[in-house]
Amino acid sequence: MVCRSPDGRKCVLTYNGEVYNFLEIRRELEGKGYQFRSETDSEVVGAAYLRWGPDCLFRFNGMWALAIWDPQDQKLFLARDRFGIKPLHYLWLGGTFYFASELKAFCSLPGFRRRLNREYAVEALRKSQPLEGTSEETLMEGVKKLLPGHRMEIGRDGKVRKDKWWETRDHLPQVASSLKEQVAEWRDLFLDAVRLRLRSDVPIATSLSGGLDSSAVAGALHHLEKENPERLFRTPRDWRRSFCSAFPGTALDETAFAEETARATNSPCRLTVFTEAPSARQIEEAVWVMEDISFALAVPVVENYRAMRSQGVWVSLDGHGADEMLGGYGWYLAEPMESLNDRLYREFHQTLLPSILRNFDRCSMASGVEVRMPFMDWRLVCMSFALPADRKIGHGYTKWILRVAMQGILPDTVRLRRSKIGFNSPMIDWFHQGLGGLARKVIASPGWRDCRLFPSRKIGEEILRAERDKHLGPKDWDQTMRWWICLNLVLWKSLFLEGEQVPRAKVAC
Amino acid sequence: MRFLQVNLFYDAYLRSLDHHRNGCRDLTFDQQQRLLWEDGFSACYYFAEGMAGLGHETMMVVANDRISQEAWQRENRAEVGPPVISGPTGAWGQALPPDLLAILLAQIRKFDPDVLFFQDPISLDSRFLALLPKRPKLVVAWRASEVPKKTDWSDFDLLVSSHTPSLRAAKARGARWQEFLQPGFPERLARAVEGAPKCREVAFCGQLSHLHRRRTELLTSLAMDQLGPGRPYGLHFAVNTDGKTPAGVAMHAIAPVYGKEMHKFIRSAQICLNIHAELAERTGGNMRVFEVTGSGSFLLTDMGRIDHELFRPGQEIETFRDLGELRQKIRFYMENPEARERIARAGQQKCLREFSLQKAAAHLEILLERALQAGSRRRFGPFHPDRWLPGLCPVPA
Repeated sequence: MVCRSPDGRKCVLTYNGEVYNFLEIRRELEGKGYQFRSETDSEVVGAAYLRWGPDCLFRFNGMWALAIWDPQDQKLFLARDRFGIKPLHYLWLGGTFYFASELKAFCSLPGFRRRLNREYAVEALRKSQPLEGTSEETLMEGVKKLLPGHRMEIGRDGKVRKDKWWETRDHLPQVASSLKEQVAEWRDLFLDAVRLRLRSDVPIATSLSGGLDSSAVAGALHHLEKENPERLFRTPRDWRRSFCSAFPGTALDETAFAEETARATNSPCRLTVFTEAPSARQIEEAVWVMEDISFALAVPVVENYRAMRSQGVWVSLDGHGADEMLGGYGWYLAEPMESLNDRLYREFHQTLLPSILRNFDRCSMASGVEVRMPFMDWRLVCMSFALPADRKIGHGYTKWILRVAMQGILPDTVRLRRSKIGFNSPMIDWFHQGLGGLARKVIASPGWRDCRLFPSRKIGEEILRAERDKHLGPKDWDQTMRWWICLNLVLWKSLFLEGEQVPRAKVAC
Repeated sequence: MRFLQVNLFYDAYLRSLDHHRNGCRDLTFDQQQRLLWEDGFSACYYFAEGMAGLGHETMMVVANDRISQEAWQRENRAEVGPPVISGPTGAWGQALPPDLLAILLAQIRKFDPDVLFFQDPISLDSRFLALLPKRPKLVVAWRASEVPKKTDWSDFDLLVSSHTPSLRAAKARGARWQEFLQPGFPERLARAVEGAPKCREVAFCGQLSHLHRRRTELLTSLAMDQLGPGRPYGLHFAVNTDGKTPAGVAMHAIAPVYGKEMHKFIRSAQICLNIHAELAERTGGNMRVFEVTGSGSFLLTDMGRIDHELFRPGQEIETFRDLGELRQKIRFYMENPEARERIARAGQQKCLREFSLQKAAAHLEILLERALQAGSRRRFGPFHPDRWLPGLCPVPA
């Protein structure tokens, strides 16, 4: 898209994402003489760059990977949103700079040799934490990613300047001293974050896991429509739909809680039910979609968004970010309170959350569904990290401030529910079923046999024994994760390096 | 026998008590003592109370309680010398400011005890005794916890403890005699809290420090369990910490409770946990065992060598060996309130019958008389099972 300023300057923008406060920015720019030809946020983003330069990023509230060609200065400007919700990969090849949202885009470049980045693969297999937020490397040798909160400029001479434009801890606000004021402020910010993310010209729905966070988003939607309908400008009317993956008979099934929220928010829940392990084809497709080593088998996530799209939904409001920001996972309970906020900061910005954001972006965009995450609103993130640890864990609960803020908005059975399951695949059950026959196939392949990155023979025997003896229990969860990432890597090599590409499943629209 | 017990209480406790004593600053020393006595902080060690019941002339002071000590000073102005700012330095120098030290010395001088009994011989060790103008016939102390290496007990005649490592330390630090002694639970506290409603499910109260790593780990694990599948239960941790508190413990933490509030807290729990410090070396038998059973609550304690000799597991208390058993027994007794209450009742009866403060004092009286007869030069022997009286527990090997 070509954007112009009142004084005749122009720039060319390509952009993946959404800036939710574009209406407010547009109004400000119109006051400075800017004229707009469309109703899109893209045009506002381009105009904002022309007006404020690279610092326009600080004005955006949303998610983006963008590239702007500035013909006056003869430079290319690229930037990623604060927390890395939207991906941005790049490659230098024969003196030419390429960039894209997906690794796949580079595979068909003339002259590009598809090779495994062995060092990255070894590191990914060895570390218990994903590398998404800390390493610029990818599994594909030569292809790099721009890290969350970073921007880069490339001059015509090929000179590259790269810096981190966003550091949350530099933007922490002064929070009120009383709990009552803190809760009120946090709640207002959360509701406003949801309100902004309701701006859409296409149908919206919610993804319900059954947990507190996604339920809070659904509850906030319901609350906003009930209490402040006049503030819901440019919001589709038929948002009252929710989607959930169900795993009946497994410890991961949260259907009952999801349905409770759906009832309370009057947004009927459509279940995608998994009664058995996914097919080999579904698993291969998930690896193709994810493009990396993933700590979870993403089939249910892919299928959830596929179901949405098949029902005509283009935008999903999800609950990501709250666990890492407010201390929702069990392992945080072993952390001393004194260092809890530091740990959350690391997992939010560098280790855990960036990989979750990557996974959900890939899985949703595979079906053309845009995932919006109210908890990732930078104002809410900054306030949450400014709060002391005892506002997050205390009074018998994790994510305490969220629970207090949701009083009257969520049913107490969900709001005060202590158990935490998380949206995961039932890997133990699925390994007992041999991952739909795929495990045998992969283990028998030369790609597995010849792999020197992990003890493939030993692990292969363990996986086959699990299918034969069905002996795994909850304590073996980490073990199955380690098995899966090995299978994941071999499948990735097969799909991305050896050319056995899986065509995308057709989406029924 | 003239028996003077010198206590030093936690500053945190005294601060919390000050809050309740607002407006009571002008009471007499006896009235202040009564308030402290009624509140029952560390009451299992109120040997002076037990010795008085046996007909001895006793006095008990809380040397670092400024309110009651200043009341004594007001009533005995002529007795109190100038603040003690010189003399040997030791841990006591940090525990007692010069003016309170002067009051304590005056109290000892005026009461002129036969037996001077220290409840905190770490803060007040032999270096403090050097300040006394006259040595009592016997200097005795209680200790059931860590003993710092620099502690000097060379002028102490007798160290009594329910904690075997403390007895070993007593020998190493120069105390002439070391004797095993259980504390005792005062029945009056059982009566004071018997009406407290059972409004908490699983409770723990105590300290978390570098001496309590296992305790910290177990409480954290229970907190993590609450996030797993299965019906969660209420956890209530009244803890005071001297370091980093795991978020899991903090999640269920309430402010530390002391004295009568602590006994009410214990009484209010359906299940009251006890996890010994590592120092206990699996011997068990800490004060909480008596406080929980005596208060009439169901005690679920980590299995110590002594616990099953004091109380019968499964009948008067319940025990666990590891986290798995702890989880399993919490579940079982949450689901079986009748069994739980039956055990709590039997435990309380046993505690009040066999481990009363009066019985503990009677045992101490025998030890003191034996020591007095032995004189300051003669040893009255290493402790031996034959020395124990009927109804008191045997000496650990």
